[in-house]
Amino acid sequence: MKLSRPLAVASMFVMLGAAWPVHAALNPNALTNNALASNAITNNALANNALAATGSAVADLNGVTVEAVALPQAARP
Amino acid sequence: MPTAFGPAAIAGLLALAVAAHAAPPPATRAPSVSVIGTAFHVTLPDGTVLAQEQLPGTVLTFGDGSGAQRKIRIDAAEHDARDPRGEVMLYTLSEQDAATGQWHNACQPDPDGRRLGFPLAGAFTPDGRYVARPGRILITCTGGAEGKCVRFGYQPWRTLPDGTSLEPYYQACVRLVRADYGGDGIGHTRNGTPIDLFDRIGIQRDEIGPGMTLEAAFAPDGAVCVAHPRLPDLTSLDALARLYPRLAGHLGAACTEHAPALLFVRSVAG
Repeated sequence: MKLSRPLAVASMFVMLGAAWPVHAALNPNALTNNALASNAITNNALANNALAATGSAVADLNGVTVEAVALPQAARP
Repeated sequence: MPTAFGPAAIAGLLALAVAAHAAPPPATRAPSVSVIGTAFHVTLPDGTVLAQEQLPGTVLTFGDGSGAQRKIRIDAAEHDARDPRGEVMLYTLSEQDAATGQWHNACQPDPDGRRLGFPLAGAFTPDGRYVARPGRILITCTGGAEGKCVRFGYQPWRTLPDGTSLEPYYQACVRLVRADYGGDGIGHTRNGTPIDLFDRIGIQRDEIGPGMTLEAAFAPDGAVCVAHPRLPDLTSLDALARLYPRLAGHLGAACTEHAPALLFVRSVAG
């Protein structure tokens, strides 16, 4: 059976609306994968830039050791 | 029997007193810090491990052995809401400016606009290899490749039920996110470029975005093959063939999803 054009378009919207939550429910990675999620974690790398790896101003805190610890008052023994 | 405090007893008491005085007072012993997963674990001298909610306000002084030190303050701690296992801790971290004494957030905004970071055991070499270095840690942020790959699910400390270690997947992921085709630490991408990464172990599914085609397949040492560069203004297949002879013969149409790789990435061919 052929649908009239407005009805066919409306049906498509219904199908899309139904498909989206199903997809999101089935895919726990939807929030972390890059392509489709609106809040995707997109590539944040910059060529030849040390900041690219860490996304931070602490790029040279790599392979370091903790040399001293100062606890907040509430956590002091 | 009556107790007599003769000279020997007095000498013994004095010896005890001297010994007690020589022992370091408990208050001077410092807490120790280790990293488990992405969490700081602060252990007090009496063996007590501080709860994560007790950590804000803690100032950690880091050193690389050269004498220079960097001070990082933990301002807040939270579980990563995206981590279904609840293993990933995220921290708001501030660094103290050595010149002014002012504290500023140590991380740049991630794609969600948040400025969070966390530690990982080990270190990255200049050519981008993640290596275990006992006692050493690194700090990364959620906006960088190192941090994203942990949050994508490739936690390097984890082993899957079938015994598969995720460490090589983590390494491959960092190379992939940075488009480090050659595995030499040189990235070929720009901030904000959308990609779709996926694997064969059920951690990241293939979610093809509009116009996306297979870009490359990655292993821990870089790309196994490259179908097209992510950003053609940064490199080309010809340039990759010249720079990385091992990739010759694995470029263009020769690169498919059947490549012997851990991770695959799609992007929009320019």
